[in-house]
Amino acid sequence: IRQFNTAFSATRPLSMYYTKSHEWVNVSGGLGRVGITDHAQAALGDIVYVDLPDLDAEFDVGEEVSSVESVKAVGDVALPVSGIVKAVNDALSDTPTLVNQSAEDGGWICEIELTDTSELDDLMDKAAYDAFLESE
Amino acid sequence: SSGINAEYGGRFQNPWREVNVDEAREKGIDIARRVSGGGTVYHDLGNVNFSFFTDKPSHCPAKNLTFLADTLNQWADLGLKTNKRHDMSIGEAKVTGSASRIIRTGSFHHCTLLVTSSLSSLSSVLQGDPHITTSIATASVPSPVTNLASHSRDVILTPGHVISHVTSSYLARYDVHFPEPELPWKPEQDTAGDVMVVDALPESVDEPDHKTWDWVFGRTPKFTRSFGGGLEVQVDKGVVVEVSDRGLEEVIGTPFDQTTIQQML
Repeated sequence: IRQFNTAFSATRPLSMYYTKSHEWVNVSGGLGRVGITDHAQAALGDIVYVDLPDLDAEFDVGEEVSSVESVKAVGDVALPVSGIVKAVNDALSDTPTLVNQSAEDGGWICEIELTDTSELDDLMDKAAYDAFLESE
Repeated sequence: SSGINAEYGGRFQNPWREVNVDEAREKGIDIARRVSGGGTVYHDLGNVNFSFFTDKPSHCPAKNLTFLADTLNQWADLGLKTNKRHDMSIGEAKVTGSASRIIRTGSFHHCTLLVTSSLSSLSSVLQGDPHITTSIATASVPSPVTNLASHSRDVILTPGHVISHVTSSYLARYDVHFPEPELPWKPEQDTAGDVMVVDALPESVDEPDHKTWDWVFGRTPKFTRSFGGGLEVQVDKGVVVEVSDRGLEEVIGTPFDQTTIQQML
């Protein structure tokens, strides 16, 4: 069983950044934990499979880092910022519905080492994301 | 392979669990993996596939299936019904399988439609390996199936007739129109309401990667296959990664093949 990076604390909401395609990254130092938002999991419905990326794989911002199948469809998860995968949430292999139950906390998908922290400037904070949801 | 008959599985399925891989190979039936989700379906020339491409807000498989059911019922009085699982059935037997994919720029819903398929071939090849004991892949939900053609009393149903009829109905219902026939098909032309008749896809949208072993078998989620007497192999990405008995060690790192392993025992 992998030990999750203890630098992470999901109780630091100020470090949460959101994309318009409903992914989030929770940043701590040069590391980021990535997942899909509660809005995204609700739209997808019950999740039956989460395709986890390989460790040490490197992705650019916006590239598909994971794919999620729900009873309704297969959808993509795009990386909010460029990075290298350092950990994946193995619990999702046995319990993909963790994403439905706790999309922005226990249902995280992977952890990355950010390769360009300036990309965070292009993302929304929670207030901006909530406003974005209202406007959709 | 025949290039005509195929078994088509969902994005995260296990082809060994869904299909008799050896029988498919012997009969020249291709095995393919979709990018959309859902279960395994059998394609032959008696089956028609429909794909509905929309922007994300307009994605609605239920609407597409209702359209198909209404059109076919009005034409051939088939008694088709749809349900919440995006199935279309006559009585207890399914005539369609549906799946969808949503990406940043849009989405599609596609479905099969059994018109005059060979149901005996279908049921025979869709018998997977019963000795796969642990698998996290998405599983098909087996269901009785039937062909539309066997339920039509007055109208002769063939795939060709179904295609013509459904297409005409779609054009009429959604008020679409044809551009001049001499316009070549161009991916950039995305004028709402225009319909292109396409005989072949341009090479730029062909997906050669999807014909590789790596895509079809190598995308299989982890599973365990039992060989009796406590002997097991664990397979990840289509390759044997662990064996329960030192006598099987030589298959570690090789593509999974149950016949080869069986012969070693």
